[in-house]
Amino acid sequence: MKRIGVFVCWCGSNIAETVDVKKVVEVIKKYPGVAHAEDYIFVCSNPGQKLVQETIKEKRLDSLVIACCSPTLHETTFRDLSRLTGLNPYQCEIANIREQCSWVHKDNKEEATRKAIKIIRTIVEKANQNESLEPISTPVTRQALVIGGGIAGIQASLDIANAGYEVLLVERNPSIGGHMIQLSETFPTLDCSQCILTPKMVEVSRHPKIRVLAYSEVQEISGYVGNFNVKILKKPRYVIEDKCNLCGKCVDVCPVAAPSEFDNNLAARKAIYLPFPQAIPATYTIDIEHCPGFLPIACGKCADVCEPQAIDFDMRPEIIEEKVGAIVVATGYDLYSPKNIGEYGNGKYEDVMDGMQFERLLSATGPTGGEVRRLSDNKVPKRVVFVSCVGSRDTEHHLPYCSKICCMYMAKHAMLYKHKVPDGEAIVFYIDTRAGGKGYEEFVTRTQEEDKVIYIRGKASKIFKNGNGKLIVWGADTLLGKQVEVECDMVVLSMAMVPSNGAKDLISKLKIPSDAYGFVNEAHPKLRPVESISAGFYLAGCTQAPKDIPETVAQASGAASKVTDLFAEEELKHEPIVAAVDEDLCSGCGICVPLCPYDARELEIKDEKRIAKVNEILCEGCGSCISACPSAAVQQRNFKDNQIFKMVDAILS
Amino acid sequence: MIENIEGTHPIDSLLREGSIPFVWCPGCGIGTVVNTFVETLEKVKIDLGKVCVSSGIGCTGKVADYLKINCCNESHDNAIKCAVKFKLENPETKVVVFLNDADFIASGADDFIEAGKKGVELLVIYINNFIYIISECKVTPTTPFVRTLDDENLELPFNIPHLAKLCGARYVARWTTLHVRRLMYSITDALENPGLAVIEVISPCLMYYATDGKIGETIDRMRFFHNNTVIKHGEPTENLDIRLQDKIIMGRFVDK
Amino acid sequence: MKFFNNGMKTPCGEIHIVKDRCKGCGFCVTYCPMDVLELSDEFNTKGYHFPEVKNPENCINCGLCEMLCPDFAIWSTLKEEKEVIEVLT
Repeated sequence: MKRIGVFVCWCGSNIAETVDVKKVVEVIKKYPGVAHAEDYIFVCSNPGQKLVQETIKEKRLDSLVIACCSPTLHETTFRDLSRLTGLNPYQCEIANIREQCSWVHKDNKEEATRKAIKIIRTIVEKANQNESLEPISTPVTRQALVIGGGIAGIQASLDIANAGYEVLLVERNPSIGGHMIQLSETFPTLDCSQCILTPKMVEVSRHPKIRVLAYSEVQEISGYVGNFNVKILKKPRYVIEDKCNLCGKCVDVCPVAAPSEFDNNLAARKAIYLPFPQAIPATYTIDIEHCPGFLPIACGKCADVCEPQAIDFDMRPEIIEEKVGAIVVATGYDLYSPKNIGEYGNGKYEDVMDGMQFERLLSATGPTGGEVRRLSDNKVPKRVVFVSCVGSRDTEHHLPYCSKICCMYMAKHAMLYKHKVPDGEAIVFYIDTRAGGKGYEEFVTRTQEEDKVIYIRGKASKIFKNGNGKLIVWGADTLLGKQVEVECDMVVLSMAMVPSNGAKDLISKLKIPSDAYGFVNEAHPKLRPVESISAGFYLAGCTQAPKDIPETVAQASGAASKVTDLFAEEELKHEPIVAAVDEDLCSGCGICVPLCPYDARELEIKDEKRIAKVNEILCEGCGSCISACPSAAVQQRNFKDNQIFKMVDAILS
Repeated sequence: MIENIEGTHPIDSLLREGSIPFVWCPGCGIGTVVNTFVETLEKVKIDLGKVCVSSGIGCTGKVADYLKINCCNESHDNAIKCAVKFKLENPETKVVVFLNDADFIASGADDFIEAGKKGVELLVIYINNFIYIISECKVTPTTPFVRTLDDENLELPFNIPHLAKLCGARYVARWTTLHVRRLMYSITDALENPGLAVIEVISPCLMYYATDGKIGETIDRMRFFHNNTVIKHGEPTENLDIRLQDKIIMGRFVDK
Repeated sequence: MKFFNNGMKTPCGEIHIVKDRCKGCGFCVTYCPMDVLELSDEFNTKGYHFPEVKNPENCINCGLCEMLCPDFAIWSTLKEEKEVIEVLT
């Protein structure tokens, strides 16, 4: 029999007002195995802890039961205390007599006291058979995988690499840079987006600790926090990165044009292309979909003019296998397609653009060199209508959530348009303006007051072309209570943000939870906003929810610091309360293997006998396999069957 | 569209007058190989006076007849012998030999092995049609599966790239008549190679081989090339046996 | 799909066919990457169906038909360089 010490906490009046702690101590003292019982006003306080420590030494206790609040609050406190006093932390147990007793039985003191005694007795029975356990430790692979090469992925990579750890940055597109590289100027300071992003891209490409795998996709992932195995598919570029000297002769001779993704289909690029001049890695890519073909090689003109002979038509997809310890998911966003909005023309009017296309029009590197022109006739539009909340905040037809940044970028678009076309007229249809952010409200006010942009409060109901080929916007001015009809030259739709195309597949591969729209869920909306509930996965940027650049950068740095936190320890510690197999009893039936939600069970041949093993690192101690095992060969550590039966006896007696 | 104007094809200047129409069947791979070869000569801007083409007998033997450059059309199995002699007499000349099975492996292989061992600078373009065409479609040493009616061909076909490598060839490649541009790149590389270069072009005979077997005629034969070939540069030559049930391995196997 | 003109040009080729040289193998028609050619319903003097230009504006002067032709019957030349303002989608 163990020597168990029981400490009953008053928790001020929280427990003592309802439960007669003196009586509890009286009764528990006589219970078999209890060597010492005592009550104290706040056991968690410093003097309380000191009392526990001294008693452990004095009475040579080898197990400890603290009857107090929920174990989620102070279990760690008392287990640490046990360890410091020389007692195994897993010999310390909490009997919850506050949340489960005193708080729920305020009106019946007598019964509450009786229940408290039962609860403590039960835990004493458990403590009596507790084993001393050591945390399970596993080495950490100190290399991080960052999925997505936008500003979120770039910032997270730089922060992790600067802390001295290896980073693998995987980007699906031929170049890193994401959507931010496409933007013209950023609100509210009107910094040139490319000017502030390209130095970071160059830093990434030169950083000795960062390996950039562009034009690659994560194909498969297995393992657990600290020890993930990832398979990355490197798509063939058909251009050898190290040989290409960016002379650009291949582009001149390439006979096929295709819509440019970088210019959001507003301009053409060739089938062999560099997405944009500052692309990283700086090398051309052959777009196999538009190239006339490789079997047989139809044209081969690029290979004929390539002096360094960098073009290799026989390049194959490559699978790269890597071990990583942590994964930062930064897959970013796409815009909701205007094709989904029937009342705004299903994307069929050339002069009705989405926000990203207008962004390219405004950009100095854009298809018009920064001049605002119409796609249909190349003329400067004199009246432009900006429509907000297209697709977002529309519970009935589209997406219920707010895309957060549209109000701001719409104000920026209107302002920049007025700067470029001073005699033009900018009209904004808005539901309401959400400008929460440093300097944001001032920016919107400046747009309205200094740049004389007309704000009409109301949603546009329909956009169509009249008989003269002019665009007409029908809407409501809810402040005047009137219908409005505006004839204009161009319409810019502030489309909702949605998770990036393909992110859904990736998320299902990573097995991390996401919401109904495909945004990845954070572990806790307030206290753990940069990590997933699945250990080892961290979130950065619009993969979690729509957000602007400063927030994205902040979250990326937060995720990076969580990763460095993980990598700072040489070994990861894992709770030892996991399933354990008695190999003599296991019949190798394998029922447990498919049941395990964490892939922790597997069959193994040992001495010519099949044994169902437990991967202790993956096991979370849920108990599914234990209840399913027909021969009771699996037992949870410190929750063994005989322990539980004794506890049931104790609570029922 | 310009119709029926003879002599305006950009390559016509390299063809002997009256050579068109060629004797070859519709869609025959030899025509495509000759086309690729002369296009390559045009492209690399080689001095045509410093090129000599030698060929032997059979359909492939006609190549030397049709080209308006230095040519020698030799008797049976003497094409390589003649080419070696020509090369020794005229060291600056690029000598190209067009061969088929009868001239190359069935008889005349000794000259080829000797040329390889001596390291004579030659470009051998070997058009593998899997058959003896003119002598009534008999099985050749390179026939990959049974074709004749009377007796079974139980021998494995010759692995030409392996033989070439073992003889000391410094450039070995294999393509089909579908892979024309890759063949062009190979001919370009091989013309610069200072040793024996061997390019095998798979082109099963349309009349006697492809129509009967699994391969099919003209376009079907091209589709066969499309679906049943795989490009593996640098593959060890011992793996290059042609079995029609497997994919035929194409590529550049030796380049020294 | 319409584009802003950013000065990008693509070549436009012209196909030349010597129809009496053609033996009707159909390589050029099958392998034309831009679907420029089709086999004619007519016969040439040898009795073969020869290729005809179906979509002349699609030709990019890649020269694959010229390379594949076993009978030197077809070739393409550069006609003009067009500015890219539209592509077919």
